[in-house]
Parts: sequence; C-alpha cells; structure tokens
Amino acid sequence: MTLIAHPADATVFAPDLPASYDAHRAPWSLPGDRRLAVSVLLHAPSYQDDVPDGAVKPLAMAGGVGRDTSEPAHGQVARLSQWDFGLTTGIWRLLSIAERAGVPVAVSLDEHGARTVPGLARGVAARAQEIVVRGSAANIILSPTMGEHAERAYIANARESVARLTGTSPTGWFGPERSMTPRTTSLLRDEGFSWFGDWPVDERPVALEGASRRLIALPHPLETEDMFQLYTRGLPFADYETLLEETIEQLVADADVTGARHLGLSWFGWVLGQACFADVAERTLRLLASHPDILLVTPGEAAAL
Amino acid sequence: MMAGRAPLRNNERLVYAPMSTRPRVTMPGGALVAFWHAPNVEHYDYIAPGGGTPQGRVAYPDLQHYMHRDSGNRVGLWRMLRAVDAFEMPSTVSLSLSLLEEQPEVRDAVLERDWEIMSHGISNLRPLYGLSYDEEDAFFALSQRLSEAYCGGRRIKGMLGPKVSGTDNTCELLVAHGMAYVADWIHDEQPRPLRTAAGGRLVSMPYSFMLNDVPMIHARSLSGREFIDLAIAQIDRLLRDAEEDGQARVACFATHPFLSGQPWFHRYLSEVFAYVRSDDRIRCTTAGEIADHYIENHYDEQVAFAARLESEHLAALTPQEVSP
Repeated sequence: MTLIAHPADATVFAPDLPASYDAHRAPWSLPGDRRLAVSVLLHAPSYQDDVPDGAVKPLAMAGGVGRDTSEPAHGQVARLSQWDFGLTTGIWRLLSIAERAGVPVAVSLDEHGARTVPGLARGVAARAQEIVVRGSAANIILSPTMGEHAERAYIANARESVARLTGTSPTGWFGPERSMTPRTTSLLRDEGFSWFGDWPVDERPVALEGASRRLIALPHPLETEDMFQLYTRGLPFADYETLLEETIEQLVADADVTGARHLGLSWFGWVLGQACFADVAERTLRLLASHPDILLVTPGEAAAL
Repeated sequence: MMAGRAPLRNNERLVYAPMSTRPRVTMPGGALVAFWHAPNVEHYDYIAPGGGTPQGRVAYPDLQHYMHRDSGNRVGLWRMLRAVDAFEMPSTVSLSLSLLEEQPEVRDAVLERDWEIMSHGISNLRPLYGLSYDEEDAFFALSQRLSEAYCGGRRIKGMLGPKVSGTDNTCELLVAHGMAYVADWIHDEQPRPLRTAAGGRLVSMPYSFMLNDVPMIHARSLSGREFIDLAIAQIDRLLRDAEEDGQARVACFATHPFLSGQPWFHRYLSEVFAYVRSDDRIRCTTAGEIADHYIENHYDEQVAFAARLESEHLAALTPQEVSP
C-alpha cells in the first residue's frame, strides 16, 4: 500500500545505493580478525582563479579570509593562495608524516593540478601508495546542469591527465566538493573506476546496484574530515584531535556488535598540512600504526576487501 | 605605460616549487624562524564610498561595528603598544594610510617606534576590486606620496591589500611604484617570487589567516587560550621542520587593535610575544627585512630552479595539455 504520492520531479532515495542497514545485513570482516580498516586519502587539489567558459563553480567553499564565504570577488587571491599552500608545502608535510609513521596513503590530484603545476604529479606519484582522481580542479565541479556528454568528458579527461602524468592507473575517484549528478556513479563505472570516496555514508564499503553495479562507494565521513571540522564547523584543533581519537576508539569497540568497520580519513594538504595543525596528523597516524586491532590499507585496497 | 589589459592571470603568477625539493632558504641572521608581527591598524569610513560596511549587517552607517573598530585606534592600540614596547617587538604595521594624514597620534606612535609601514590601502572599506589600471595607478601614487609627506620621505616597501583586495594589475603596479613585497598571497611558509609581466622582482611575503585574530577570534569564535595554543603549535612545528629539513621559515602573527587590544586579550598577546622572545632560534623582524634578505640571497636561485622544473614538466605534456 502506498499512501504518499511523491511529486513527479522528486527522487526520494539516491539511485543505486542498496537499502541495507546495520543490524540487518551480514557483518563485514577483515583479514586477521582486525576490527577496523583505516585508509588515508590526502587531497592535493588546485584552485583556479579563472575557470573556462561553461565550467560550473561551487556556490560556497572553505578557505580565504575567515568565514566559509561565497566566491571571493575577482582580485582577491586569499582562497587561491591558501589552497595553493597545499601544493607548495602542505601535501609534502603530510606525506613526510605518513612516511615516518609507516602509514600508506593515497593522494588525490585533479586535472589542472597535474597539467599546470610543474612536477606535482610526478613528485606525488613517487611517494604515495595510490593515486586518486579528483576531477578537473578544486572549484570546477560536476553539476546536474551538465549534459551526459560533457560529464563523461569531464571524468575521462581528468582520469587521462592524472593517469598519464603520474604514470599510474587510478581506480579511485573523489569529486571536488564531493560534487555529483544522479548519473555520475554509472559514468565512473563506465570509465573504469572501481571505487569512489565522495559519499559520507556507511562505515563499511558499499557495493552499488543497478546502473552503477560493480562500483564501490568507499565512505569518507565528513565528521572526520579536516576541512569540514576545522573550517566549516570551526572546531578548535585540540577538539578535532580528540574527535578523531574518540571515533577510532568507538569504531573498534563497535566491531563486536556490527562486524568490522572502515574509516576513510579525508585530509587536505592546505588544511591539516599547515604547521599549526600538522601535529594532529602526526599523533593520529602514530596512534593508528600502533593499534593492534587496526588494518592500515589504501582506499583502493579497502574497496577491494 | 600599459593600461587596461591584465598581462598575467593570478594562477600564472605562482612560481611553483615544492618546499621539499627547492633550494634551501635562509632567514635574516641565520634564524630558523623569522617572526613578524603585523598589527593591522585600520580605518573604516563612517560612510564608505559605495556604501560598504564592516560586517554587511545593517545598512550604513553601522555604528555598532564602526565604533567597535574605531575603539581599536582610540583605546586598543595603546594597550597593544604596552605589550609591543615591553617585549621590544619589531612591527610591520598594515596601515590604512588615511590615518597618516588624519590621526596624528596614531602616525606618531608608528614613527616613534620606527615601525615599518606596509600599505593597507587608504581605508579598509575602499577595496581595490574593479579599479581600472589608471585608477589603481593613482592609488599607488597617492600611497607613496602619503608616506613621503608624513614619514620623512620614506617610501612604502610592501602592501596587504585593503580587505585583501586587488586586481589583475596589482602585482605589476606594486613593482612600478617601487614596492618589493605583497602579503595577500598565503601560499607558502617562505617568501616566494611572484611572476610579473615586466620581469620586476616581487616577493610574496607569508602573511597568515591562521595566526590572525580576525579569522580566528572574530569569525571562528576561538577563545584567547585556543588562539594562542594555535600560534604556539604553529611556531613549534615550523622550528622542528626547519631543524629537520634545513628550510628556514616565516611565522607571521597578525593582530588588529580592535581585537588584540581588548582587555581580555592582553595576557594572550603578551604570552605569544614572551614565547618568541624566549627562543634564540627565532628572529623577531619585519617583512621588509625578510624581503630584502630573500631578494639578496635567494630570489634568482628560486626562479631559476622553478624554471627548470617547469621546463621538464612542459616536455612531458601533450600539445593539447599545453594549450587546451
């Protein structure tokens, strides 16, 4: 029986996301009976002060002077330069921290960064354990206003540039500003991706259905993302570190009830790579590396588990 | 003189080289960290041209925020100066230049302490957005005339744009008017070259939106304790990283008298000044001294290194990727 007559222009649930809920599905398990798989995805996006004609920009973004503002007036370089900090300094600091802690990491790169920032793609590929494609640029996003052809070209061009200039074959995608259209997941699958990280949804990998079948949604929670907590919510960095510790502790404990969990950490070079925040990354990665119940993997490995 | 057309776009001005592989950079006096205090001594028009207001809260005049900010110059600055003087803290004042002409007490306080004057525009409600080349050229000419007239012939060496504003011509005009650095670009922990069309040297001076009371206290509501913990975490990390990789770094601490001059903040301002004064690996200095040292010792080497990096990169691109 159906009582609700949804309006014809409404789509009530996300397409291709299976309706399977904790406590109502078979538990996930990990090799060696580990309780929690953690993957670390470091973002190295490039911000473009000028975008090509027809490109779609976010309505609001973090960074710049103070608040989470809308697009700054042309001529203010605050956000451009703050995001660029991630490429000159932040991503390299985070890579060094991960190397010292013995934690494998993936790094996401976008087409503009790979193509226009000299040596970035090559340098990152030499140090990261996985390369992930992050669309066209930090502020050139996917939008439902794009036609299918334009969206397919956006995805294919980004993948081709990042793959060629890093010398890798990326299997993972993370959209700038987590932007998507209802057809993106099926296009990602068509273009050869096996997982994407945009959806802050379940605490375990989710195999999509329907037109997106064979694509894995590998969740990266907003709650543990540095940009979201430190900029969007404005959490003090000491509280952010506590939040990370408490998240890890609870997920490990939950495994007895729910089966193994996954935590995808999503950190930005221009955020956690700043000197004032970097110790949070350092201490958190050391905690993860020393924890007997945690399996450290790259996102691609987590999606394949 | 060229007019109208921007010769370079902002992304093109970045001279990229990763911190981890670029030639080593030193700071004045061989310090591991150069600390520069940047008090933003600003004026906000009672009624601004175009009707802008400090907070976009109510229509002009916004007396709540006009008075909040003006209290910074009337009261807060003088409390801040007690901390600055106690710790003999060199300061690079980001100054609304109208204060040179219209607030002699503020001007004299700056001159008595031999603070370096960094232009912060005429008023902080008169951003540079949308200025034509000629209008912006006249703005820079007026800035230097104000400094020469009221500061014993001294010329201004750098700028933080009013409201961190600029145009596509700003970098060219900074150089044309004899300035050596700009603090709007926060893309590095070291000074960096910024590309100019005419080839003049222009240094991007690391300013901060983190160690800065407006973004952290006014916009993000951090407490004084949280803000100073952030500042000390930044300085400590810069010192450790500089010791490890040999790359000396810059820490900018940006204040505004209407915030950092508040009674409740005085103890925290004093704490951060005491912290940096207690460590001889840190040099308390000015943006101008850092820029001079960088131009003298590192600028050309960094440009040459970045050019080699770019040349190698371009060789790996397809023709389509070079000119999409």
